Amino acid sequence: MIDSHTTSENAAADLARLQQELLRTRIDRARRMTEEQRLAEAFALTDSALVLMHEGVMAEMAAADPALGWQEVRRRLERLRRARGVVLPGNTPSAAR
Amino acid sequence: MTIEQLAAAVIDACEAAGVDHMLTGAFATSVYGVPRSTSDVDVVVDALAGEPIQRVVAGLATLVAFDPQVQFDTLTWGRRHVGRTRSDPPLLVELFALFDDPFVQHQFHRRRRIVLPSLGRAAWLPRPEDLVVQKLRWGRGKDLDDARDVLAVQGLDHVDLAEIRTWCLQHGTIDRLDAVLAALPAE
Repeated sequence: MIDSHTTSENAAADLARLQQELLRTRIDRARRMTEEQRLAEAFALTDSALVLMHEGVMAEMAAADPALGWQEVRRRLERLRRARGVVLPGNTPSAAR
Repeated sequence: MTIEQLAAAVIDACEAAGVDHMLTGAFATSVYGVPRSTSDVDVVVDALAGEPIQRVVAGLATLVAFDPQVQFDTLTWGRRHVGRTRSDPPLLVELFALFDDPFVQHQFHRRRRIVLPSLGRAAWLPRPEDLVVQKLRWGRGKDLDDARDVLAVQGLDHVDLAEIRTWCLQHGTIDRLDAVLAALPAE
């Protein structure tokens, strides 16, 4: 008989394995690219992510004015920047303390 | 305006102002690691304050509105000039003033110039080892992911791991390096 603890342990192990496989795939793909191709992809990802964010906001707000949509995108990006700025304890440059 | 147009404009403004510079942030990470999106153009500039950096700011004035107040960054590079694009999409330019820290100076003076056709020009970038040391020092979640990705994509046989270790020992970030190395997928 398999108890629920064993089942959840197996699920966690499966998830960890899947995460490692996904990481391996991303890394193998990046290794096959040149520096310039990787940078070009970063540009393309950025430009398309912003367009998608804007389209999502416009649909969510049922807005007709694209400028209003960009205002909301700007607000969301600011919130994201603040959330991502969380720092772990550790050394930082002395001049930055 | 696209992010690559903005990056090109920032590089041009630095060069026109005669200010030594280095592209950093997500674009440097993407050159050496796994490409990812960002909405920031981050550039380290060899200008503490005053006229040189004002020339860069003035050169970008039609595209970017800079905050009048210089920010003091508690995490990264000391003084920071932050600007936002005047047109949509909303993009950010961050000019980090180079300061007198041994690693920051070392990283800047070892930077390499590479031709980037997608920008239509050459750009100065940090070396991958220095980018890893910097990311481990900053230590936010995405920084540690970036450090892992750069090491994984470059391959441990192609980076100077001893040098990375030396800096990490100085910075007290050796545990972070070990955690990142342990997280690398098996070859």
